[in-house]
Amino acid sequence: MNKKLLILTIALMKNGFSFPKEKSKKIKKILLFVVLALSLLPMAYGIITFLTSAYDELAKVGEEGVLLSLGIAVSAFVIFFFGLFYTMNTFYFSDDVENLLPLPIKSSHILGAKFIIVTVFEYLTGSLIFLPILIVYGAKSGGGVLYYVYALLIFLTLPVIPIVLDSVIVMIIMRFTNLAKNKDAFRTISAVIAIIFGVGVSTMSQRFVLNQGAGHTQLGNNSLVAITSNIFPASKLGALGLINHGNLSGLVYTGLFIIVSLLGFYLFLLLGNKLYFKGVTGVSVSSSSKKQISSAELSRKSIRSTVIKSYVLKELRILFRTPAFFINCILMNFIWPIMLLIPILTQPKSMNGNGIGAMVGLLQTEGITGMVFVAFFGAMLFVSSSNGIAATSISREGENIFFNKYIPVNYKTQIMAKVITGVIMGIVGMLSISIVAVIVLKLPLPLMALICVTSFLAILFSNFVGIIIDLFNPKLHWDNEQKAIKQNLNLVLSMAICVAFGGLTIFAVIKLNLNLIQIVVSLVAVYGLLDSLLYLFLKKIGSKIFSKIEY
Amino acid sequence: MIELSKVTKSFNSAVKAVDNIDLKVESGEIFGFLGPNGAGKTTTIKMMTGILAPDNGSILIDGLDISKDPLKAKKQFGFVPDSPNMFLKLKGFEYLNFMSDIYDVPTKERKEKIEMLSNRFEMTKALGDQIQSYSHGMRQKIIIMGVLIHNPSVWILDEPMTGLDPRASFTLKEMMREHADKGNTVFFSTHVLDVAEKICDRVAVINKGKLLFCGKLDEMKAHFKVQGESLEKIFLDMTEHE
Ligand SMILES: Nc1ncnc2c1ncn2[C@@H]1O[C@H](COP(=O)(O)OP(=O)(O)OP(=O)(O)O)[C@@H](O)[C@H]1O
Ligand SMILES: [Mg+2]
Repeated sequence: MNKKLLILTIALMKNGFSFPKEKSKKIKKILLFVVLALSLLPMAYGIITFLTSAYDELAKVGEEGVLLSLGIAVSAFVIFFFGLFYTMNTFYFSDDVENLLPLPIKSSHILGAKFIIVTVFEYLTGSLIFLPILIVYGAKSGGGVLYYVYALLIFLTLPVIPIVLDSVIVMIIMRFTNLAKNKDAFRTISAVIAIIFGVGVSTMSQRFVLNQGAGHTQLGNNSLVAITSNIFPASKLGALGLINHGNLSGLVYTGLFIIVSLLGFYLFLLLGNKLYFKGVTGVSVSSSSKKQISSAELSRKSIRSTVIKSYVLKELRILFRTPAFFINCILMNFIWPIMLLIPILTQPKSMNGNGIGAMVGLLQTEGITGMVFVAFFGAMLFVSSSNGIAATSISREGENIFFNKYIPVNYKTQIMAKVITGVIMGIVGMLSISIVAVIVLKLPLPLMALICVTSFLAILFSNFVGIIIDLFNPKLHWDNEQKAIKQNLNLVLSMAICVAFGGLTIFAVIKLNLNLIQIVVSLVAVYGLLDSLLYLFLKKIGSKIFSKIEY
Repeated sequence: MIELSKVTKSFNSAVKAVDNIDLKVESGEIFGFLGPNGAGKTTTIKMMTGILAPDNGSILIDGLDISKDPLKAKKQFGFVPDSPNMFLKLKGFEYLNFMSDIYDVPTKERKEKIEMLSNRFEMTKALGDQIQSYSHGMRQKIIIMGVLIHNPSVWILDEPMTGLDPRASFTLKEMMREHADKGNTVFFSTHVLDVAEKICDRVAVINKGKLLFCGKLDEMKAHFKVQGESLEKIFLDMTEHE
């Protein structure tokens, strides 16, 4: 790789993952990684067990290769989906381009460096899904050195094409930002459009394919493969390369896969030079109307309210008005209902009867209600932690953390205001999922209401956990807002802990074979107790930790 | 009134950013805090306002200890930090209302105050816009307005004149005088010696964390036996790097 490009990439990334010099902070960081690894272990175990048995089943019919082609397809889709967020964050919400433009750096280097950063993020995403598949397949099939060499090459190349697609979509839409008057608002709306567009394209193309090929009942009916083999036809090459690693055709396929990806990257550079820089400059500009506020308007708007209400409102305003926060913390709450909708909407017409129908039927079955209940509860733990509002609430203050310390508002109140903000958005997310569940999956309304009331405890839990983690080790040194969230391990850690708790809860309920009433009572009791303990912890110890935070 | 006794702070054990400072600022006076870059002015002010905890010593604001009775002490002062880049996503009046809520300003009073302050600082046309769209000086003004709105008895300002145009800076100085004349305390740090000379009742000079001088400006001139010398010369001599 070009040396200058490498230096630039490292410089742009540095702020995110720098390792602290002070010893106490170093220990904290190492501890963070350990806890993170531990909380991911159960999930890893689950995934590997699942993959191993899937391999065995498929091997019985001599179709174990499906594991790879399916794995590559699913990974490419997940990479594409999260890539929409990553590219937006890295290309448009990190305000570093304006600082780079005056420097004597080639524009293709800026583009390349940003592309590499996104790619590295995607390796992390990929290692959660794709890596276990590659390893399980390799171990099971007894693949030699050559297999692992190909696997590594394909692992490294896989994100390229999805990211090219992501960035082209994002760049085209963002290209028009400069024409807009209120750039923040426009950027936010563009981001929403890009996501809807990305999801829409994949949904539509899948639907099209499924309707076309509704005749045969192959694995092609499996939704995600169809999406990806359509949008990312190249990903098939990767799978073929790996499956045939024993002979020459494997080499050819792998080589082709890499060449196609390189061509994609080249295309990205060409388009980027034309589209990117025109859309990205003038980032942090907002319009000013310079209009006098009338006395009547001022009276209407300056009404006294309580400290906590005013504080929550301030938090929400900042979350909604800062594009990077909006995308990651607010929009995230509406992503999950969409994710729930995709497989439903993409059901081919001919399958309607046994697709959703079967699902709806299944959900109505006696005895399954308890499962639905606890599954939703577990999902809410995850969903409400995924918006990261609580887990980044201290980090988001950044260098202005001093403000929190000189105002005469005690730390407990400030912590609770931040928790309430997260809880409000968590509830919004929960309600939007519930609406989908009631309308599309036809879950009975009373049941859904009961689920929501109980899941409130889950939302509270994930927000308490989030803010406690952030209090211990806030990431205050950032220079643009997206770093406070996207490159914040606190968010990952709080999600991992919430997922672990969700999984544990579901596991316990299944093992204990509880009925609905028992489930409700025990969930309320256990999480009610946990929430109370966390609240007491925050009140007593959280405030102390807050008072010790220094920039 | 502000009282510092034996206040010390070091960041990484080796160097003391603030070294054993004793300082008493009386009610009714404007007190200037002078010193070269990196002298320890901001660090001292951060400790006075409860942002940093001193390693040693105590700080009283109107008789209330900032570390023992933080909430009450914090209600006594208004603070203008050295960088005005806060709450950029809020609109001007939203920020002022937020500050009013935090400091319990009643509805009627806040409205009058907002109108009065925005007139005096010529900000009436900016209140409806996001602070992000303000110039540096306008940001400085809105922060100052946010402080004045709750009418604290003690003002603590870190380089408040930076970025203000002559008119705004004049208004601020005028307001500082009015405030002190009502028996309140004004404490501010600055590099601009002219400002210090014109409006301060007393000054302190700090260098490398140590207090070099504290008293009236004439006393300073007498102290250094350089009557007739410009203040600038005295300052340069005093803070000379060995
Ligand atoms: N967060 C920090 N970590 C480490 N050292 C610091 C920190 N803040 C300040 N210092 C050090 O403390 C000393 C005093 O800094 P301070 O900001 O108080 O200076 P100042 O008098 O306000 O300077 P200026 O006129 O430039 O604003 C400096 O040597 C500075 O390097
Ligand atoms: Mg300073």
